[in-house]
Amino acid sequence: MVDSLRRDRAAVAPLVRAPRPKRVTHWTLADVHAHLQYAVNLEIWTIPYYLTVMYSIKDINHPVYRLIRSVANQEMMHAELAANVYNAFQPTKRLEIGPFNYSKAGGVPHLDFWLDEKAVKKYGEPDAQLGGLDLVRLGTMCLIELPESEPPPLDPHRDHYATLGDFYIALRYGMQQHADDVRGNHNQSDHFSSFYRNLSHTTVTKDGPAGLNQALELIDVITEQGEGRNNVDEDIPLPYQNTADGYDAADSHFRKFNAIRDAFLAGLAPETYHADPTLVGTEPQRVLAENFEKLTVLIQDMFNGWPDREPFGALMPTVGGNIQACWRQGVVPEFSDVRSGT
Amino acid sequence: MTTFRVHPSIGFARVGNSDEYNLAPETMAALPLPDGGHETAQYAGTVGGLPLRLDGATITSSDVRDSKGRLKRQAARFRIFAYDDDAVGRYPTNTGTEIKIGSTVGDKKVADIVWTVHVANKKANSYLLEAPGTSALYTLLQYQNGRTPPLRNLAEGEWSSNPERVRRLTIDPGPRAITGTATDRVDMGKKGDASYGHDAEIEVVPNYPKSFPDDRFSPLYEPFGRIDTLGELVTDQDGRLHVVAAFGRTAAWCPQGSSVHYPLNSDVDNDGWFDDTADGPVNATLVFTDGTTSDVAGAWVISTDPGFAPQTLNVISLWDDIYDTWVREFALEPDLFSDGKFNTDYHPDFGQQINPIFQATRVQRWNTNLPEGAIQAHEAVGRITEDDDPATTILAGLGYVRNPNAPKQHATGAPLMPLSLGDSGDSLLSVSKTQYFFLEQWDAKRVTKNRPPLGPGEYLDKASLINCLGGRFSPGIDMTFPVRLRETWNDDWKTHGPFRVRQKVLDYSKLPPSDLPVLGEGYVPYRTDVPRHQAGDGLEPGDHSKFMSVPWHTDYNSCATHEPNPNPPGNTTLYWSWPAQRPVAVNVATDTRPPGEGVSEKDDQLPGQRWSLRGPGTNSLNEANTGRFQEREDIILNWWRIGTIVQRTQIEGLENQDAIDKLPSDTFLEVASLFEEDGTSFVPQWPINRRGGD
Repeated sequence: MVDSLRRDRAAVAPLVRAPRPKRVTHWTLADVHAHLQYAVNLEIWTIPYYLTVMYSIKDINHPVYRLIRSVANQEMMHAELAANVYNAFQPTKRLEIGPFNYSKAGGVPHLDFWLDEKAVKKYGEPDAQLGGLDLVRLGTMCLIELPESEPPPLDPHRDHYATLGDFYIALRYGMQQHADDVRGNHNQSDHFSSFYRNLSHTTVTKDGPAGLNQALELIDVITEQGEGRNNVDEDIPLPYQNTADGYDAADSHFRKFNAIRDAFLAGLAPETYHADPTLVGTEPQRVLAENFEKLTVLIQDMFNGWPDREPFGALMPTVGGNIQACWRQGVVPEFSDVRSGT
Repeated sequence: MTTFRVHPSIGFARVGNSDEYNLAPETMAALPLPDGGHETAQYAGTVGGLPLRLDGATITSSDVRDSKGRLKRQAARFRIFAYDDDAVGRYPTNTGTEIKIGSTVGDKKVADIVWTVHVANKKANSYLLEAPGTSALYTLLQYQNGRTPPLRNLAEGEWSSNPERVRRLTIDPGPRAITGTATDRVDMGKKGDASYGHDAEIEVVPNYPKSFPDDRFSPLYEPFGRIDTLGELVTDQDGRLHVVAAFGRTAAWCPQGSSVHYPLNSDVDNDGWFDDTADGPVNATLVFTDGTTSDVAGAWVISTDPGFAPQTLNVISLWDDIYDTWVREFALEPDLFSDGKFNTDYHPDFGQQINPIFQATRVQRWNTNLPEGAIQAHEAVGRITEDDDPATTILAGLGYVRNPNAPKQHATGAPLMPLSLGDSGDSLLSVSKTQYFFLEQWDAKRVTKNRPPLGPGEYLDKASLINCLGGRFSPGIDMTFPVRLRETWNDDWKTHGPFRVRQKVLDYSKLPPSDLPVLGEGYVPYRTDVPRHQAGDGLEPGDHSKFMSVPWHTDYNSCATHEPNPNPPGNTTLYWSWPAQRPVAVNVATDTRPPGEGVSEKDDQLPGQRWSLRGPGTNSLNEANTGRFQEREDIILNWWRIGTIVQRTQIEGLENQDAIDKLPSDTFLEVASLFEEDGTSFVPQWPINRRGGD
């Protein structure tokens, strides 16, 4: 069994997909830090967006509900993995979590879907506004998890990418230029390793090139679970699959969201709650915003290696309950006290 | 006219290998004590569920074992309560007055109480719990349409009612009577005559056809000595009855033509084996000083495995299962359930009907290897108060509660709760339909905190049952699936009170001829054609415990963690079986460190958990098999070494007592384990997974 896992890992490890440009584009360590900061916030940004869609579904056992939940759980893991990588590169600044904007104008942070018009044509105009399960939200979710385009840009000053896949390829490229800057065991968090029993590590524990390899594999976990391999419809490598609370654990987020969207188009959508989008500042929205604010502070503290002020294990599911409470009471979940503009 | 009833309606005695005994808990595990606990708890903050010493004080860690290190047995204590006319016919009555020797009832004074108890063990003449190919089915399905599962011990004959088979495979000491004023114990064993109460007298039945394993099998493998008793009876100064369990012994006979005893090949169905647990009716007659007597509505006693975690409340307790049956089958509370549906105008009481679910959730961590995040979530559930707006809590919308009305949710694991294995035929556990209705009402803010408390006898009924396992009857360890069938209950509850087993009337004055057994095959679910046992007859002694594992030890050993059954495709995650009753991972009191010595804030004083069943012979590289003896016979020899989990407030006299005393009062730690440390590391946090191969 162990041997077979080792073989699987070996099959995954060489997956360094950044193309070799003719001329080296130099990334400073600050560029790497900036992109990892982007990564953490982008991963966390997706969680309220996905959970808002998920909790609009009435049947908590519906496959669509369970698929989205499995993705949202992995997004939390991705944020932690990205934070671990950030902390491994000897950051000079603390990670800043948020603020999060969910407006049409604000868009999805660090992603500019219009850079890939073909994808927008397929999935429709994206909308970062929070909402229930509908074609607009599903299209946006597919766009967020879109695999990399060809060829991905590697400019370190870029802060928006066509796809999440492109973003991580660029990041990998920059990380590889700073192997000697990697230091293990600095502010590393691990809330997920027991849910991924076949994964060798979820933290960076080594220095230098060995630490870089660990960090690169964490980025691989994020991209393999999220986007999958470009133009290749295959399962997530076994070591990266959830071993406890997943659902269709071999499928990438992109594949899951496409399956949901196809089901929606086929008229197989689950029953959802309906809300009046004009209702703002209601009690359930206020409670949600308050608890989400606590959660972001808590996550920020956690990722910066500070002691927990509140138990994460209690607050995270409470926020979930708060989101559902909004839907049940006919209002769209809001994650800040101020209503996002449209 | 005054009505008299024995309480608890079902009492639980528990085996131990000591001659000494404690009394079964009479408060509810994990819940506040009904009187604030000032009289019975050693320290403020101690929750219910603790057994009692014979002097009435709650036990401490020093009371678990006797001076020789043997595990004390547990007695079920029965009392009699009087009800006025206006309280009869409804539930709850919220009233009741205990009647003791010397009590006055009207113009009469109680002179004595005549108790009669008849327990038996029929496990060897019962049916397989896990017949090949059926382990993923709901057990009761196998009894429908005139069918039964295959019999245990087919080598002893294929006709379950054959008197010779019944006699060979039943342990029956006959009835035993004792007066409330008696000073000597009455053994329910091979020695001594059977006896029963008849009005104010005790009739002796010297010719009663008692039956014990060594009467008909030789040689026997008896590693803890002969099964020559199923327990004993004691009465106290008030005339209350103690039914003390036996000693946890087993006996195995040899297949015909062999001198080697039957092996233990199964977790629950072992041909060729007896144990000394039992069950049966408990009846009483009040004797007044004027010579008159009054009948008392009887009760039932179960003797079963030791309670190794008495303060850990099951999320779905035996009370929840039985109450659900009574609510939906007997119209017990018509304002709650009538015409086949729950009434949303019914406002459940937060403290009595909802908080137990939350507190049970809170304490699961002390018997399981929940990860830190899950512990935090469970504790958040336990902190919910009656004043909280449900929408602001972690359980808002019940999004994490498995819905018993949505069967597909039984196959969905985390985050749906409870995070334990399900009933027979269900992958994972769900609360009862009545519990779920209560939660829905709470979520909709339709609750009250003003329901009057149960009457003292009614409280004993509930406390006795709530401290036992429900929900997962595959088969469970205290009582099992027949409690869900209306036919097993005395439906004249408006007279006798609810939750009383339908007793078959046995006339001990007319023994069958030719040494034939008095007890027959007895009750079989849904069956009306069992010889000498007609529909509506009720249950004989031994008719409840026979549906559980034989011997109980192997089931206990096995029920640590398993994959669900049926197992969702691709799943290798292991879940707990019945951790509140069978601790899996425990914090050991002697591991506790002084504050400030831990490597992190989270494990400051408690370094980690160990398997409850540990030491030589318990390890496996496959987490699906560890935390239990790898050879079943080892549990037969070592069950009494298992430690007991008690609240920190009850721990005393340990070398690291100063460190223990600095833990929060709601910490529960294992004490009195006699397992040798074998150098194995601490238990990994859940989720854990089956590894390929064994």
